[in-house]
Amino acid sequence: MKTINVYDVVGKNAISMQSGEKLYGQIISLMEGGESVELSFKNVTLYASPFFNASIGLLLKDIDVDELMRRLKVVDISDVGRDLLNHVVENAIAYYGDSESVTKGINGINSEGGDHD
Amino acid sequence: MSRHVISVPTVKDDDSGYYKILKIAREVLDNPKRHFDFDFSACSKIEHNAVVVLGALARYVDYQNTLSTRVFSGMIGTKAFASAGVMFRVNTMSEVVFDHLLENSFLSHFSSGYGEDYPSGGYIGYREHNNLLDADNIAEHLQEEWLSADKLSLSALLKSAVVSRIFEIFMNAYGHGVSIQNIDKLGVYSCGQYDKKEKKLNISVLDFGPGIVSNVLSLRSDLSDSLSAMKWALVRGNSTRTDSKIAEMPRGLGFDLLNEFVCINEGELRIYSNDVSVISSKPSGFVVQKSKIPFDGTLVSININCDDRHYQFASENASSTKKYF
Repeated sequence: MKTINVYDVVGKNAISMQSGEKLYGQIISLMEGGESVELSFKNVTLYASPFFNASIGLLLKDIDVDELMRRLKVVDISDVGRDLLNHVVENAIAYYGDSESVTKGINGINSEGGDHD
Repeated sequence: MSRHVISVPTVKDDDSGYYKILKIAREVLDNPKRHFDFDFSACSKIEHNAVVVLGALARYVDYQNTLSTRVFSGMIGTKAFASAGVMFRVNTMSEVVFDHLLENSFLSHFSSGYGEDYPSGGYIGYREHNNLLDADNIAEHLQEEWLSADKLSLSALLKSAVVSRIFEIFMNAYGHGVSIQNIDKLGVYSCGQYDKKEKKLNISVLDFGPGIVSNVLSLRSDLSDSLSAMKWALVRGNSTRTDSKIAEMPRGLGFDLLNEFVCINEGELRIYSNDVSVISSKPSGFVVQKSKIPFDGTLVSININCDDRHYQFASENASSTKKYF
């Protein structure tokens, strides 16, 4: 298993798509070589969904979630980061698995007929 | 040149306050190539939602002048050649309103007589972010300046969650607003406010992009009305994808994450964009309505309880998200 120190790749902010793309490049090159990957988020202090969309979410385009969970280990991540990551993975599964499913949720949102002041 | 006087009323962070300030925005945006004087004689209190709109409107009006006019008038130190402009009548402000607009650095952005021009550093107040997204800069600002420990008491866990969610608002403003707006020099405008007594934090973020409804209707020809378009935008995973060239990438989590956060935190999220408004809170969930006053852009406001008693971390309790990692 190869370890990637995320801080060394993107610094302390794991927030932007551009940073996510950088990390994706490193993960996918290792995985394509048959490696498993440990991602260490030590010293990373801020997380946002665009980063995870472009790094780990994008991996699910080519790898199913069970394989991803076997081959990717995430350590030293804060509770906020881990929660965001799980949201992103769930969203990515829906996106790549059934792109129609997300639009079905529209009916679950409240609507009020009158104008709003 | 004649000046158009607009009376600024008392504007609070409630339905009535948003209605009043959006009405003023409409008056300006419908005919912006004029000189506007904002009179505060009838204003006894002004909150973050009004401050951000007034500041952003001033910049919007300024950019109605041609580039050459702005450069020329700037060079000779006068606005006489500018065909459009804004003046905030400080002499009509009550002491309370004046002090508030001084403390939150609003006035310093529009007159050198009230402090440092374009102040930086640690204050919770009005800010202008330029048209080029610098994610690290915004993150630094939010973590180290805006929410620094000496101004408000936040646990490390809550602070991390707050910064992360507020950052999502900025990413939406840049990715779906500023990056595709008509006047490319306009930026993102924000105003924060902290109520020490109530331990409540507010931030409003505004951009003059096409707006959420407009973006969605451009993409989805199967959606025929504004309410459906806004509801589509609020669903987890739906995105107009104007924020990146990577087409095959999952996204569309920003509003879903914000909504989940305010529900857990027992705060409130408001979105005003085009002719639709959204209010989200724990008791009601997303409530999507047609607005009487359309807004040409997007205004997002969030109200956060800074008391940890209101906050249970989603991954432990309230979130329905499966734990993959």
